[in-house]
Parts: sequence; structure tokens; C-alpha cells
Amino acid sequence: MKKILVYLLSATLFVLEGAFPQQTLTELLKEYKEVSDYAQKTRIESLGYVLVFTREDIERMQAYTLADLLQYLKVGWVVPNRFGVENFSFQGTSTGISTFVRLYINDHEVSSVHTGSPFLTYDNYPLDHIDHVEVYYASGAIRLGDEPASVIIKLYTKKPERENATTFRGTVSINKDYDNTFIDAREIKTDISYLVMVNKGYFNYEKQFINNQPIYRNLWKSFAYFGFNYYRTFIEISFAKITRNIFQGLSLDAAPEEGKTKSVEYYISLTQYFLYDRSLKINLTVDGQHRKYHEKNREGILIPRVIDIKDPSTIPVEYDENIKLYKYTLNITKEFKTKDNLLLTGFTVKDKHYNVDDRSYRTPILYRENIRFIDFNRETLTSLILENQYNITDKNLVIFSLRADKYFRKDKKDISDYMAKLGFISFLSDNYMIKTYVGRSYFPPTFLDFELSKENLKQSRTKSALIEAVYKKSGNKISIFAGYEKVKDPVIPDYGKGYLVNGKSYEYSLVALEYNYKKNNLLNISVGYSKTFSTIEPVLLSEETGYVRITGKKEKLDYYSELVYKKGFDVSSIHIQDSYNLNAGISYLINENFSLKIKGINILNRGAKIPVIPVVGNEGSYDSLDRKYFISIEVSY
Amino acid sequence: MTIRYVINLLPVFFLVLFNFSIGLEREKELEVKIIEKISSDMLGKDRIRVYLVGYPQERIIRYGKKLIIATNCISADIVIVKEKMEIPCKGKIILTTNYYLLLEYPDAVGAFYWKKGRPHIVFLKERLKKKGITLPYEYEKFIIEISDRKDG
Repeated sequence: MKKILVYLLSATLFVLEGAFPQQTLTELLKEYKEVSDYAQKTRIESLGYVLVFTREDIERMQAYTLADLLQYLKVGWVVPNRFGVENFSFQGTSTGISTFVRLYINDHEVSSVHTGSPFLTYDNYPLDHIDHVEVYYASGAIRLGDEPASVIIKLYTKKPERENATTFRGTVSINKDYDNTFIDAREIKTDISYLVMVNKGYFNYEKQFINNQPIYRNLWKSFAYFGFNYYRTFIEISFAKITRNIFQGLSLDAAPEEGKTKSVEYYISLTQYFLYDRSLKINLTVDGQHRKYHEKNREGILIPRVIDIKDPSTIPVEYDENIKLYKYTLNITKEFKTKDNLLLTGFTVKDKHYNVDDRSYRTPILYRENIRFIDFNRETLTSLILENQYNITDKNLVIFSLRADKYFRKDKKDISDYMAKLGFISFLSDNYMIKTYVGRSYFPPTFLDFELSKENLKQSRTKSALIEAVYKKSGNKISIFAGYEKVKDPVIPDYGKGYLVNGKSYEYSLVALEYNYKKNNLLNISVGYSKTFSTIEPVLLSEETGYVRITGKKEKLDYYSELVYKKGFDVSSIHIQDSYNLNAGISYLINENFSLKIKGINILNRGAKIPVIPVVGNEGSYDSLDRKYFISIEVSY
Repeated sequence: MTIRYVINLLPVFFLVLFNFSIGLEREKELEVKIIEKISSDMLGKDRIRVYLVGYPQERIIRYGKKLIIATNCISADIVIVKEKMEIPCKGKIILTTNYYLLLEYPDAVGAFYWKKGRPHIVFLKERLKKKGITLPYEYEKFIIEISDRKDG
């Protein structure tokens, strides 16, 4: 570490003394732009394997919502689940409510306290005010102090002092979708700045048929965000309102007669930095979510807590809920930096309240209201965090992370567990890099898991390993990524009992290869392939994927195109064909303040289909993507 | 060749070994270097007295090799304006760090500013001419006529 510091200092001095007088203004500006790149500064190597979508990527791919962007991930994607929610799912598994994903807007985690998943509200979160997105495949979220994760998605809002603009984007599609965003971001004076975003949209999806009945997943969304920087203080206020059709809902035949979900979520977050190097950080947040759900289906609705599997008259045909959830979080972290070492210590308290008494249901013979499925209505998570990064030599970094958690649960047994991770990053030479992580983590059952079970569920425990090897030379990059996870006591459905149980252990492994060619900022080509192997059953998503992706720029034109192949498979009586999803887009910069964009998704109309295996009725499948064409204008001043 | 090699390597090391602490400093340093380069090329001098309006002094003191902070506006060669405030002397060459300030001050000849996540440099042809400033050839692409862009 000392060696590299001396090397860097001498290199910097050399640059200072020798290079600047010779550098032209253009060169200085180019280097300034590169060094200022916000996406390079937020990456947290200790979290795991990372994919970064820069502002340029997001703009070129015309990713207006989080779901648009998460389509581009390797190994896992967002796929509409039974509620029509674009839910992140790993390749070769199934799509349900993923509790293993943590979504952050800056430092604030937004998953629902009830389901443990962020996607009901945030799947189509706008990206207009987002600078860049990082996606980590990781075991645990050790240094972040929130519930454990396998995937961490971090959105970073644009820096107002670098925006100084008011921007409006309007998007419409031939399917009557619309999505409009207004942003204003400015620096008022040095160290005082703000960012405002307001978004309103409607996504109209084609109706699909299950058991010869139409199912819908249209979405109405409104979002607002306000961020204010005042010297060492950062305040954020966020509001989200979602209304959506419930698609298959909880209907036994996967085709409800009617149903809607409404979710209103908000949070206020206050972050204060202390000490001259900002190494002490305190964050306080208050979150609220009000969720309403309505479903009607004469074939029955799957509510395990009220159904007696031997008595069909107990099966509800109408179900309503009006739940209120609150979360209060305090997070304190302190970094200690020395020449050789970076030590992070942290402490988190997260107090979660569930108010879920306003529920009612109707069966063919009775109506019940104000029902409480379980008495458990409060949980407090406390975490102690320790992470150390040590440079063994100038090109070898070792990471060790440890977190001890305790969940204090009202009217339920407390849970104590820990997460640990060991990582190693090495630059073998200027061309070769290798990263490896091994970790141990766990997943506590969520509040929803308890409601969908009649047993006293315990936490699942995981062991995982990741390796990434990269070869890079003059614009060419080849990377290989492999991962393995073993989950003990997973919370899975028991079809015989009709509710969730701690089931048999399973193993999941994956391998992904990618070749990437980059020519300055003008052309970027990626070709990739991934395959997964697992003991999970049933498999409802393809296990094999290949893709070709091109993004580029030519004068005033930005363009992108990609073709994603997913191998077909058979499950139960359903045959899913190979899918070929072709997306393409062009942006034309009319002048510095006005641009016109056109995008087509699923152009071949051969996107992936997802199998449906309902409790009653016929098996079938639904389209994960509609064919759509969008046109957008963006105006700034 | 060696210099370019070192510059290209720096971000990699920042990323892995030092996180972003050094990167932040380097960013401020380059910002001052750009202001210094522009000032030096405009004035044709190696020692420049700058009067600061809202621009952080410590940044200039730390990284400005050719820049000397002028305590009064009269003695300054150039005024750097970051915030909208009254400038106590008239007729000085002004460089702003915000595009709207360039339009605000009639004596401002150029701006080095951020907009929509990208750094920009711009000079106004008419005002350079009025002040009798001739910039080197490489500046041509940064020079515009005010009628080209009124809205910034």
C-alpha cells in the first residue's frame, strides 16, 4: 500500500509539474470530465460483483423506468409476476415476490416492510433524475445495514450542481401509454443545491387470456422526489402513488373477475455528515406505505390463513385489505482510513410497524371483516457492522465483512443471526483482473411469509461464492462470471398443505460470459451468454440466455439495438418456445436543448412467455413483454 | 506516452485502492487548472491576479500555480464569478462558472460550467472582440456568437 501511495503521489506530482503545461484545454476538459464521473465514485467493491449503468447507457438505451433498465441485466431480469408487477427474478427460477432484492435511492432502502420487495411500488420508477445505477450480485448487504440481499440495486440521483437545468420529457406509445417527467435541478450557491422531480404515467398492456378469461395488468403511476443539499446536510422527500390491475392476483384459476392494488409510499430521509473528511455519517428516515387490495373471483382466492383445505366452503370469493406500514430507521457509520487500511463500523436500528387489521373476505356462505391473520405486528432490527479493506500489495485487495443482527419481534420468537463475507480483488497484470467472494448469509421470513403460512417459520441460511475474471486490452474486454448459492430451509410453498413451509435445501449456480468491444465513446458492442443450473423445482423461467447489444453515437444520433435469446423449456404440460426479443432505439439531438427519440421493444413479437400453473383450471402461459413503439421529446432550458 | 499511461491508470487505482477520496481532490484540482489555463491564454500572462465572487478561495490557493487572489477588484486581471453579486469595479474581464451569469454580466467573456451532467466551456465572440482578446486556435470550437444560444 505504501508503495502504491508513493507511486501515485509521484505520478501525480509528475503530472502536475510535467504534464499540465503541455495539456491543451480540450485534453484538460476531457480528463476533468472523466475524473468527475459520478459513477466511478460510488462503486462499493466490498458488496460483490457489480454492473454499472452510466448516465450515457441509460440515455442511449432510452431506459425511462427502472424496469426498462433491469431488462438489460445478466443472469436475472424483471419479469411480470402473478400480480403484474415487474419483479426481478433469477434466470432458471420462477417469478414471485422477490424478497432478496434491496433497492436504494441514494442511501435509502425502499422495500416494503410487509413483503420485503420494492417492486410493487418502484418497478416503474422513473430514471430521468437518476445519474447512474449500480447492480450488485452479492451475498448479504453487510455494510448497508438493511435486510439481507442477494441483489442490491442502487440508484444515485443526479447532482444538482452539475445539472443547472429544467427538463421536461414526454413519452407516448402507439398502445396509448404515456410517461411524463419534469425535473428542475440547480446549484443555488456553493454547497447549496436542490433537485425536484415529478413523474406521471400510464402503461397500457394488452389483455391476456388464462382459462379463457381476460386478465389485465395496466398501471397508473405518480412519483415525486425532492432532494436538498445544504453544506453537510442532505434532505430527501419522496412520494409514490401506484394503482394497478392485479393480473392473476391470488385467484385459484389465475383469472380474477376484478381486482386492483393501490399503493401510496412516502419517505423523508435526513443525512448529516460530520468531521472534516465526512467520515462519520448519520442517517434518519421515516417511511410509510398505505396499500389497498381488492380481488373478486368466483372460482376462489388463495388466502391460506382462512382456507381449510378439506372444506371448500371456506374458500373466499372476494377479498379486501387496507394495510398501513411504517418504518423508522437510524443508521450511523464511521470510516477509519489509514495508509494501508479502510475500516468501516456501523450501527443500524430499524423499527417496523404493521397495521393490517382492516381486512375482510367473503366466502359463498359468510362475510367476515376486521380480521387479523396473526398477532405479530412489530419488529425491530438492530445491526452491528464491521468491514475491513486491506491492501496486501499495490494490486491486491482483501475485504472482510461481518454483521451481527437481532430481530426483536412482538409476540414472536426473536431471531439472531449473522452475515460474513471474504473477498479478494487482484490485478494480476495491466490486462488481467480477478475478483472472488465467499459468504454466509440468511433470509428472515417476511411478514407476508408468516401470513401465507401456518407454521412457525425460521430463517433460511445461505452459503455462496462468486468469481469474476476479466481480460482487457485496447478496447476489448472478455469477462467470465460464475456464482454458486446453497439455501438451507428455504421458505417455499407446500402444495399438499396449501401454505408456505421451510422446505428442502436447494442449490443454484450460474455461469456468464461476455465479450465487449468499446471504441471511445462512439461504439459499444457486447455479446454474452449465460446458463444456470439448479435443484429448484419447478423451473418457470428459461435457464439459458444469449444476447448481442450495440450502443453508439454518430454525430447528432445516438442509437442502440439488442437481440436477446432465451431458450425454450417444458414444465408440466406447458411447452415454452425459444424467444427472441429485439429492441432498438434512436435519439436525435435537434439542438442542445431539444431531442427527439424513438424506441421499439419486442419488435419481432417473439418475447419470452411465462408458464402459468393454476390451482384449478387449465395450464397456460402469458407474454412477459408487449410489442410497443414509443416516441419521446425532451426539452431543457 | 508515459504521461498518458499514468493518467489512464489513475482511475483504476482510485477505484480499487483508494475509493474516491483522491478522485475528489483531483477533480477540484483540474477545475482550477482549467480556469488557470483559460485565464493565462486570455491574458497572455504567467502570473494572474484573480478576484473571486462566490468561488471558493481555498481551491485557488491550493491548486492555482499561476493564480494569485486579489483582495480588491481594482487590482485584479480577471474576475471569476460563481454567484450573482454586485462586482465592486467595472470594466474587468469576467469568467463565470454558470451560463446564465455569462448573460447577466456584460463584461463576462466566457463561462466554464456544468449543464445536464457535462462540463462545458463557452466564449462569446462579440465580447472577446470588444475586450480585444485573441484566443489560441484550439479555442475556436468553444467560441460562439451570442445569437447562437440565448437560453443556455
